[in-house]
Amino acid sequence: MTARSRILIVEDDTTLLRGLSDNFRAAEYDVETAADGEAGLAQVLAQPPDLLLLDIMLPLLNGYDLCQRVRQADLDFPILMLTAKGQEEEIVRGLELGADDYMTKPFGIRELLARAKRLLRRRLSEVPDRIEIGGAVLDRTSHTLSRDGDPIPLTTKEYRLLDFFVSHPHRALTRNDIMNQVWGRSIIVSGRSVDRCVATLRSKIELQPSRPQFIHTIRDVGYRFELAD
Amino acid sequence: MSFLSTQVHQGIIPVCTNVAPFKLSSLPKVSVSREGLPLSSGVKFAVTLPEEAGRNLMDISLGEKLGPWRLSLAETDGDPFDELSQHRWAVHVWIAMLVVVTTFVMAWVLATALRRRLRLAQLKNDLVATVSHELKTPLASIRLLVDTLLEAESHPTEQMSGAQVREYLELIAQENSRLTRLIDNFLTFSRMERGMQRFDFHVTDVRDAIHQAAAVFREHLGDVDSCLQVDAGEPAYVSADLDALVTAVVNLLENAWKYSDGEKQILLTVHTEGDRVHVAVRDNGVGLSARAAARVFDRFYQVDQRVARTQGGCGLGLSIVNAIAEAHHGEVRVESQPGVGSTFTLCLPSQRAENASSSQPIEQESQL
Repeated sequence: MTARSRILIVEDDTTLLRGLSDNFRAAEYDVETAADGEAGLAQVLAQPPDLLLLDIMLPLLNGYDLCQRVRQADLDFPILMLTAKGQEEEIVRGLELGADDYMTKPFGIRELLARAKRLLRRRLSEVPDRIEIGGAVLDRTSHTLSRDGDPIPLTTKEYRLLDFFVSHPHRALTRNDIMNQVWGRSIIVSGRSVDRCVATLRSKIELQPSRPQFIHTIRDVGYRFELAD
Repeated sequence: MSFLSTQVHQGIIPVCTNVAPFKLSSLPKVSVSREGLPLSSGVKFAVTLPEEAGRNLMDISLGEKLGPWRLSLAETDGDPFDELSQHRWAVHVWIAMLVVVTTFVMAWVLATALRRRLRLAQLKNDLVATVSHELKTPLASIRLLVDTLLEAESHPTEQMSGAQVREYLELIAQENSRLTRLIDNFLTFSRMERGMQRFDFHVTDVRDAIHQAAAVFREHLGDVDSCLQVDAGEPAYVSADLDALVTAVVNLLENAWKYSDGEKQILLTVHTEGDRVHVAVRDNGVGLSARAAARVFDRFYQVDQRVARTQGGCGLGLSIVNAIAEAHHGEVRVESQPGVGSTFTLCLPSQRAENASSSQPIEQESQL
């Protein structure tokens, strides 16, 4: 019997906290709650959860600061932000401070449960050496991509970008995150370079690049790589 | 010599220069008075010695026939142009000062305008942030609870107990009334900001307003009888828009409720002092620092974000009370002690009781 995943919900609105706790408990998670940022941080540091559901506008310590403090403490469990703001710059700020994904209030509970499940699964499973993406197969040992045995040529950047995507599935990735991880901190790279590389990569792995199945654009934020379970 | 005398009469002094062949004693003793000559002060005529020719203002040859004689205009006592140059210098100083002062005034005007615009932009941002957060949070709760109820309904295995369903429905109702109050406050605030709020003044017994306000407060917050004490006292008449007055008192009561912990005690009283009717709301809440008390009527100001988040609200309630008080030619004051509690007092000009008996609207209609 596997242990149940532990979820910490940091939310100051009592009604929302009640509804979220009931739903996650019903989905067979162990749920802990905190009503302000400082209490949330204390709980996280005392016993890191498997997933943190984090509101942004929190009393005492806001969600951004909490997120930053968690990452500074070298804790790498997934963080899902719940934000009422819904403005791109706020979302990007949260993601760049270490959150893995976000949902804008008001959200659907089924969608939230599905996102939480995917983030937890990613945490539990190591990225395999051979990954099937649609009909194509990415071999991470030989750094090759092939479809039906035929190799699909990839540039170094395209390979590194694809490798970054498959090792960070279901996460909202900002252009800055991608630039820093794939290109390094080069000053001549811009968000446009990322967009161009994504476009060429899509043409190689997506069956219909105009309606992508794997690399999804998050408007004004970045990209999310979705892989079928 | 007639030529020379003419020149002297015109204010020009003939001076002998370069007179080496002549002895000093041979020079004519010429003494010319300034009187009758249009010369400025500080100038006097004199026949100068040849070696003093360098100080002359003008020095011209009189032609070959007169040989070494030269006609010179000399000054011997200071600079005759001092006054003029001082005058010009003064003009320049004044112009410079004017330019500097004008520059400073313009810079101040620009800085003030810029500050006002920045404040407006900040206000707009605050409004957007507050609206999005304060409206979306209850909406998110309602959606979550309704989704949960629907989900349970469609999956028999996840049936909820009757008590739990009722609890969810009550939570939804609470969130609903929270949304309604927020929207009412936003609308009132928006009308006041646009100057569209109209007040219909009638002579009113303040006790009617506070009883109505207490009823609304009870309706909003459920069982508050244990903490709310109303002391209406003697009849007290003011010229007021009854609805606005009720709104103001409700906002004061809700503010007292939000900022009180533990065993809340709220006292609502009415009394008359001189020509003013005082409606006071006293609480045993967290109280205010002097700095917070000075800002408490500002729009979107919230003393404690934790309280604001958990109890709802967007920092508009007290600014609405203030606007209503001003429209009634009154004021709202706060006395507070941190950790002990606060008293908010709405002071309105009192009216004679006999004006009330006519029950006619008085000739006073205000528009904010």
